[in-house]
Order: sequence, then structure tokens, then C-alpha cells
Amino acid sequence: MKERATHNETTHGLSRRGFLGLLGNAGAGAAMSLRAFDAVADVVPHRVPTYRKVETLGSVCAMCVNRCGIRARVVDGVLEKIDGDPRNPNSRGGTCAKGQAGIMQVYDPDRIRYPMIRVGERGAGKWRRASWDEAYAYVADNLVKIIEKHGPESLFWSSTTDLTETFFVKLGTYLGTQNNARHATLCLASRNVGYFASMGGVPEIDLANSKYILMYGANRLESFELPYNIDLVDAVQKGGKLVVVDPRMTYTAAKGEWLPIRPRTDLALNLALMHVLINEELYDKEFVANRTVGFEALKAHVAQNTPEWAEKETEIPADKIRQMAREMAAAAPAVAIFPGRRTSWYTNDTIFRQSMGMLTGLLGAVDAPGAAYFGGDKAKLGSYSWAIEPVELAPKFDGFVEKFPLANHEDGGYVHMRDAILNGTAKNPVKGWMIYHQNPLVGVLDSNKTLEMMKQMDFIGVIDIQPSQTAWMADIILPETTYLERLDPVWAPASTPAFMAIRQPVVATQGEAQPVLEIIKGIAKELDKRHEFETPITEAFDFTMEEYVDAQLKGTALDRAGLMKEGIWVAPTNGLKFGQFRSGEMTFKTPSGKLEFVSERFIRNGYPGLPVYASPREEPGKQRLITGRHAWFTHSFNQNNKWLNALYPENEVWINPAVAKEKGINDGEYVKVKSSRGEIRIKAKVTPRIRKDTVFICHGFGGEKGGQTTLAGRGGPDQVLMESAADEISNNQAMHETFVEVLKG
Amino acid sequence: MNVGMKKLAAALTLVCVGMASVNALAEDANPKRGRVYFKMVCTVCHMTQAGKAIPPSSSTMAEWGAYMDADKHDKTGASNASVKYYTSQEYRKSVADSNKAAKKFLDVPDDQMLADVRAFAISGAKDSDTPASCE
Ligand code: SF4
Repeated sequence: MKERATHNETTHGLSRRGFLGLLGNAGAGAAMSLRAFDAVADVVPHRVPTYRKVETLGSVCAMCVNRCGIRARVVDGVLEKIDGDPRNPNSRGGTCAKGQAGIMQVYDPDRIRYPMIRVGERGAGKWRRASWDEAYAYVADNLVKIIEKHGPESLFWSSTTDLTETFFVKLGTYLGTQNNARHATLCLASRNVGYFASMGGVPEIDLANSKYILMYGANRLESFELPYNIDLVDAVQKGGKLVVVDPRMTYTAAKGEWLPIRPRTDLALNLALMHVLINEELYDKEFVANRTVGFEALKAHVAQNTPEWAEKETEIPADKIRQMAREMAAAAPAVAIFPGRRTSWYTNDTIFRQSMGMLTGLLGAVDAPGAAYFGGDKAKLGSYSWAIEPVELAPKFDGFVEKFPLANHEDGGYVHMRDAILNGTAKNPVKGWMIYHQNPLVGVLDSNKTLEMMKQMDFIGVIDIQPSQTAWMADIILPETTYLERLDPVWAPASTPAFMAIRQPVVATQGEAQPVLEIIKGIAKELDKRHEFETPITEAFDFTMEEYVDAQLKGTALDRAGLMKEGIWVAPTNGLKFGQFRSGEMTFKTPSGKLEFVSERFIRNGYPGLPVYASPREEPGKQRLITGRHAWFTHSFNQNNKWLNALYPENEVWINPAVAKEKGINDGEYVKVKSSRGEIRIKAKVTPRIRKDTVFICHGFGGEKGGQTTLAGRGGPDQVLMESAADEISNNQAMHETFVEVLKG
Repeated sequence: MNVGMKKLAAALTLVCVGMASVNALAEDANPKRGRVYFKMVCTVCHMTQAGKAIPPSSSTMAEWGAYMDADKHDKTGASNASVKYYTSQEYRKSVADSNKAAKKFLDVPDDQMLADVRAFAISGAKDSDTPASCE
């Protein structure tokens, strides 16, 4: 142990040393976990090596959604260090704290190591260990019972984005349910639909070469999105101007100009910027004439949206708005109107994102260095030939397709689904809920409603690595292997240069955890014994992960052994090619083939073609609650990671000093935050970095009970406070629509 | 008829103006079956023979309608094969041993299968409300 510590101190510096110091504490947590789960948790083995077998394996991080390239250093079978892979064109050798703390994902004493079946009341935390055979039979029994009594449309199927999610979603499809609730409905659905309306899709941004970057709320330096956070720093270092419009001064805003906008008025700012560009004839006339439609209608639409009008709405001075428009026009086309990622803010989010695409078009900030672009490179993979899916599936229980015609129907809408179940408007009883690697009790607003919904379920099954708050409420938890213990499908994203990377096992599995594909195959066998499906489930999953990967790699530059040896393959590239959209050689994926100021898709589905602004409501004496991420946390499981939790053990409510003074609240003291939906206790952070009418709480903390012993009882859960609200077009949850009162202790 | 079906019917009407017989078929078309056939028969063959997929989102609704009406599988006219042939029972039978979807849909009448594929291609066209890839 001493040898290892010394080695790491000299090689990897402070953060590693800190992590290793914490590693020693893992044993204490292990004892708690043993009691909770009656399981044998062997945390990082302690040993005094005389001979060290060192291997370095290339893989793909899964501590957040970015999938950075990593090099895992394994010493005598123990994962000792995770470094960035410099060959990865997206992550370029970097890993964040979460990526390095991935080691604790494997050795976390809270980890579920065996199938666990509930023996007490739901949520009481009483479990018994089960064999996999028993677990598979238990899940199949329950699913078939529901299917035979109520039909497969009575199953609710939710999961989060990852390379293996496709297997779980397919299982639902083969069972006959279309009732998916996927990650996008909690995160970026409104962005996707808004840009779909104006630009035909969400563009990439050549951020590294942008001369003017406008970020609405996007907090790239804390909520990583690669390679944008790296490119942003490059652009600013090269002299690019960064303007961040956000009620809160984030670390990203601190690197540029912060415009503390009144919440939910972002659309007003965009309308005014377009007003100035048109009025002062600063827009890109050639691009507008040749590559857009609806300019005259837009001109009339924004005629009244003067900077003075917008100042009253946004509280951004009219002169500043004029200056922004002029500076953007001067920098165009190298202007980045950054689309953002988590856009689950307000109920008007889709039309706000639509306006971002419109502003991009007006500036002609498309298809040029430093601007928005479509295309780029992508490695071409083969694909596994799946068994035939059932053709006649029962419609979704919540009428989602009819109500939200432009939403992504395969992703579903969480808020709408939950309402349909609770309000009794579901077309059929919804009795079973299978959840894969998602934590809806934290990720979905108004969590008391989710708890209510759970009560209506005859069966809740969770596949996860950790006993999340949601898993704690389940009837069975099926332990999945971590990303460091399993082979996953090949990943080949849109990227210039193109590349393909593989996530592979770098260490042996802890306990009896299984990859999700193996879990599904186990359940499939039991399902087919009990029920006749249109396509037998065993037939649908009659392949190994190796075979799946081989099918993907058919005809590519490397076979499985080659890719696993290297971890990554990068294609030669000629770099980004611009000009094809401007010349008309390529068309936008809109009905007109051009960038649409007036959305034909919106009109033909009964929505206004141009975004219509409405002033936000206010609640005197209360603050609007907004939420966001911290650099150490993306998923709620990050917060239970001992190393990461030690860096930021509990969240705070950010409150402006003037408001704090009025309420007699001191920095660092515990306060109550109250909404119509609940009340939490949380530490106050008194800071001028937040507007007076707004409070901020970092998402993902809190919860008194649960199997996550590091996180339990720490901080305050913002999702408890949030009222149920969703974007009107995409049904993306709207997390910034709640007003709260902050009260002394 | 739900909103999705209404939109699809409207889209089909748009590209089938003046073609009463196709319109009649379109009302009964099953784009879900068309989707399975498109992905598991058309795309699989395109990938094997030409090394590239032709997703519905590669063309507009009007282009797909015109393509299907012209009934020339190879747009250049270099081969005589027709779209109708590649959705026919004759073709499905010829590949049924190696293609699960062709086998599953062996009994679907020729006109119906063509209408299903047409409906899916148009509903997933790039100017539609639900552009579809081949994945
Ligand atoms: S940003 Fe961090 S957590 Fe996310 S993939 Fe990269 S290294 Fe992993």
C-alpha cells in the first residue's frame, strides 16, 4: 500500500493522492453496505505486491454521456488509474474528475453485487439475496402476469442513454410495449424539436473558430459536452467573445460577459436581437435571400420587439442588446449561437430553441468556419440483423403521439405519461415498470408524484449498478456490471475526424453482476417458458455481445481483436468542408429545404409558425427555482461516488445577498426551501452570482433513505420542490417553472 | 384516424394527386409493416449489394412518391428491375430462406406490400414530421 501511494504521489499529483486518501475510507462504507444488503463486499483488495503485472487498456468512459477515450491502468488485476486517451478526437487526452473516479464505480462498497428481492414494504430497505435463476423467474413471472391480465401495453419501460440501452428498449418492443420514457424527455427534447422546426435538425458548431459565442444558460465548463468545452477555451484564448445569458453566474459565464437575464424571457431577447439585425439591415442578405424562407413574415413579426421592449422583459439594457446584435453581425458568419444540451427549463422551451435557429439563419452563421454546420465525418459501421419486431403494437397508453405530434415518439414524454397514469386518463391500466440504469425519483421533477405513481404498479424491476433512490423502491434489483467490467457495442459518433472506439472489460466483475445483455437473455428464457410471443424473446436475443460487435465491425478497418487491442481507431480526414449549404448543393431537412423563419412543420401541426412570446408569471415574495449540474456530477450515481462526494459533499441553495439580508439568512446556515409541492432543508450560499428573483440548487442531492450510503441525507433534493410542468410542444420536462420561498432555519 | 395517420394520409394525398388507385391503397397502408420491410429487406440488400443504405430521410415526400410511381428501382434505368418487383411475393419467395422479414410477409399481397413500403418511406422523408434513418 505504501509503495502504491508513493508511486501515485510522484506520478499523478494532488487529485490522485486525494482520491487514494479517500480510498482508505472505503472500508467504513463497506460495512454499512454489508448490513444493508447482507452481501459480501470485497472493496479494493489490500495487498503487498512483490511482482506487479501492469496492463494498460483502451476503453470508453461512462461516468457521463460524453464517452471520453480512456486508458485504464490495471496492476495485478486491480484498476489503479484511469487516464485520458490522447488519440480520441473528441476528448483529446482529457478526463475529468468523474472519469478518474470511475475506479470507485467498480470498487464502491454500496454497489449491488447480487440480485436482491424485496422482502419488506416498498422502500423499507429490506432485501434478500437471490440467485440469478430465481431473479429471472421472478421478473418473468411478474411481466407475464401483467401481460396476460392487461396486455403488454400495460408495461412502462424507461431507460437512460448508453451504448447498451438499445438492448433494453428492444426487449420492451419484443414484449409488445411502446411505452418508453427515455433520457431525452428529461433533458434535450425541446432543443431537438425547436431546431427541427427552424433548421431541420440540431447543427454542430465549429466552436474553436467562433469569434462571437452566445450561450443561453449552457454551462460548458461545468456540464461537460465534448469537444465543446475544450473548443470553447480555445476560442476564447484566440480572442473570441463569449457572452453567457443566464440568471446565475456560472463558471462559464465568469470566462466571458455575464448577462443576468430575467428567467423565462430568453425568447424576448432573441426577438429583439432579430429586430435590430433587420432594422439596421445587419443581417446576411445573401444567405437570407437564397437559403431561407419567411423573411418578410419574420420582419413583421418582430417589428414591435424593440430593444426597449425587450429591456422591460429581460432586464438587459436596450443599448446592450443593440451592441450584441451589432457585434454579432460584425463577427458573422463566425458566430456560435450555441444550441445547448439540457434544455428542460420552461414550458415555452421549444419555441425559444426555434428562435435560436432563426437567429442563426438571420446572421448567416451557418456552413462557415466558426459557425453552425451540418455534416462532418462519421465512421461507417455494419449492423446486427435483429429478429423481426412485432408489427402490430398497441398504441401508447397516454395518447402521446396525438397530443405531441412533433415530439420524438420513441422517446416518449415522462410528464405526460405520469399524468395519464395518475389522472386516470391512461387508455389502459399501467401495472408494470421496468427501469434500466435510470433514476426517475431524482431525474424527474415533482418526485412525490413519481412515488404516487409507483404505488399503482404491481411490479417494479430495476437493472442498475447502485441502489439508487428508484432501485430502493423496486421489487427486485438486478445488478449490472460497470462499464469497466464489460464489452459494449462499438461507438462511432459524428466527429471530424471520424473514429470508432470500444468499451471493453479492463477488470474482473465484482460479485455476480452481469452485463445487461446477459440479464435480458436470462429473463428471455423464462419469458418464453411462460408465454407465446410474436417473436420468441430468446430468438430475438440469440447472440453474444461479441457477435453483435463483430456485425458492427464487418467491413471496417479493424476486427474485434484489433479494436480491443487499440481501444480506438481514427480515420484520416480532410477536415470540415464548408459551403455546400450556402451554395444550395445541400439542403436543410425542413419541408422547404431551406432554413425556415416560419416553420411549415409547426403550421401543419396546428402551432404558430413563428415563436409567440408571452411574459412570464411572477409570484411576489418568492423566487424562481433553477437547477443545474456541478462539474463533479452528471448522473445521480456520481454523487454517491466517494471520491467525487468528498470534493463537494452537499449542495446549497444560492441566494442573492439582498434577499438573504431581507430574510435574515446568513451564508452557510441551514434554511428551509418551500414550494407548493414540498419542503427541503439545505445550506444557504449567499452570493451576488444569482439574481434576486432566482434561487439555484445543484441537482441530484438529498434523500434521507436509500442504499446509497455516501449520499444519503446529504443536501437537498430540488426535484421534490419542482411542480409538474412540461414544454408544450416536446413534452420535455420544465424544471425552471417553480417558485419557492426560502425561510430561515 | 389519429393525428399521425391523418398526417400520413395528408402527406400521401399530397404526393399522389390524380392517382386515385394509389390513394385508395394508401388509406389501408401499414407503415409499420413497411418499416420492417424497408429496414430488414430493402436496407439489408442495399448494404450487401451496394454497401450503402438509402434512408427515407434522404429524399422528400414528393421525391419518394415520384420514385415509386416511376417504378424504376434503379433511377438511372440501367437495370430493368422495378420497385414493384422488389416488394412482390415472387421476390420475397426468392429470398425467404435467407431473410426473416421476407419470409414473415410472404402472404401479404403485392399491392399491399408496395403500399406499406411507400407509406413508410414517405412518412420518414426528410421534409416529413418524422424523418427516418435506416437504423
Ligand atoms: S467528461 Fe468526464 S465523466 Fe464524462 S466521459 Fe469524459 S471523462 Fe468521463
